[in-house]
Amino acid sequence: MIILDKKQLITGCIFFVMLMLAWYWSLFVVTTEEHQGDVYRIIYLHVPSVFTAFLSAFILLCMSILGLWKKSYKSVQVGLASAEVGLLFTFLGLATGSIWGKPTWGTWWTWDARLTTTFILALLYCGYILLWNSVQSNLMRIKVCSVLGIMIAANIPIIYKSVTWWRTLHQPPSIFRRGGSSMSPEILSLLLINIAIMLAIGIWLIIQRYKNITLGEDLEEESYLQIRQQEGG
Amino acid sequence: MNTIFKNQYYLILKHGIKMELADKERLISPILFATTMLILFAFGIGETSEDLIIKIFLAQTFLTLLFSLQITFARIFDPDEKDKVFQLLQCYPINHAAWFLGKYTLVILVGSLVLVPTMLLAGLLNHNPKAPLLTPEIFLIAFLALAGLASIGVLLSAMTLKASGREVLFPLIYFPLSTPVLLAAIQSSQVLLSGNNSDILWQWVGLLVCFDVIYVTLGILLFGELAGSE
Amino acid sequence: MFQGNTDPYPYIVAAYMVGFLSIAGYTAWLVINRYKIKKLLNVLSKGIQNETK
Repeated sequence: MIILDKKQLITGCIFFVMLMLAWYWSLFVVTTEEHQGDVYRIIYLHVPSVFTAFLSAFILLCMSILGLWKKSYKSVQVGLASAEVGLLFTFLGLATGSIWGKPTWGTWWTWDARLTTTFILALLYCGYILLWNSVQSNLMRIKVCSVLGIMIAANIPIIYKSVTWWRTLHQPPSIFRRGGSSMSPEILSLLLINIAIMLAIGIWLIIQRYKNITLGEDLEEESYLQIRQQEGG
Repeated sequence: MNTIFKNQYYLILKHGIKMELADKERLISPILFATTMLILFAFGIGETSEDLIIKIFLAQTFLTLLFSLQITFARIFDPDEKDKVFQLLQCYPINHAAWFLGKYTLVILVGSLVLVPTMLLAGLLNHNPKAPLLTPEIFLIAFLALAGLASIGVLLSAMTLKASGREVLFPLIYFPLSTPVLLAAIQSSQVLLSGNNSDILWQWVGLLVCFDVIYVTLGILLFGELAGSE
Repeated sequence: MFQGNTDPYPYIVAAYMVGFLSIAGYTAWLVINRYKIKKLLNVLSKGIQNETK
């Protein structure tokens, strides 16, 4: 029995090997940053995770619009997969941010605007997954989940706008500065490589999860048919 | 606005008001809940210093409103579902925007009946020696917040109508979605009550109005998809 | 705000461990899930084949 076909297995392995190499480079090869010291190495994991979480939200938005427009069930299945992967990477972003915050800010958690909004995003992803599982009919799933998907995505850019407002009102920018001149080309290029690899892994995971969802539904259908056959026979 | 749209809107609204009036428990229970919450908040916080009074007043008022309005919103389609009005309207060639706006106005009306007593009570329970806590502007901000929350409420109520475990599901989605509205409402009220920079106040009020517009537009656009025949 | 005197290495190790475990854990869960589904699908299709025989 083949669990993953050759193509999926090879691409998955390539991505994971690339991730390990990028992490090795981030941890042992790249030079230490002047201001923060070695702790800045966490950003090579933290920033790509958050980027992947936002990519998932973007895919969720596209799939939700497509779902409502074409009434296609496939798009909400992809939506569920991207919400799950989005939740995983949002959690990862929060966890690594928190671990970075302890030696930097001196606290595991602070009600900083960006932390709070990211936490809200995680809750919204949870809500989407729960809603998907609690609606049974396929057509209702398309309608309800697509509407929620659009609402979640509509929230993200506006929440971020309010973040800038909040920060300018209450506190100076305290999250690490990634701005141009303060970052050496070496650090920036490695960060971009890490982001690209993590996005690729995110997409690969979404595809795999989508396949699991469709297979799971095939299984449900098949077992239902068999039960009906047995009852009929 | 054409006549058919207007008629449909008024009919939906009239029917909703009749249903709400027929079952007074639906209206009284959120107010009682709000009163209990305010008392619990007062007990929990105890004596406070003067400089914290504004913050505490706003936090307890808006959180109480959020929780008690959630009870109102979550049940807004219940009478329709029970009497099969929802299913009948799904089959009827009704304008979905009129249906949404009818329900939305009803939610605003019912929500106001929860909002006003809650705010008055919160104002009575808290005393700020420097300036009054309950001003017309605070009420205006609270109504702007209600306008945004009501739209999320109607949409989510329609969304979770067929979902299993909707008692848990509704607040789980409603609270994160309402955070931007709540944040803008609390921040603008705080700037207003502490008499700070008016530019900042307008920024926050602008954000609140922006969210209201977005949520109501989304409501009008997406409600049709939820309420369309299956 | 930066607390330069803290030893950063335990934090770096912890962050990358969390990263590795969550990505690897999720992938492993996907693979196990796929294996289980495919196994059950195989059993079902064999059952159908036996019945048709």
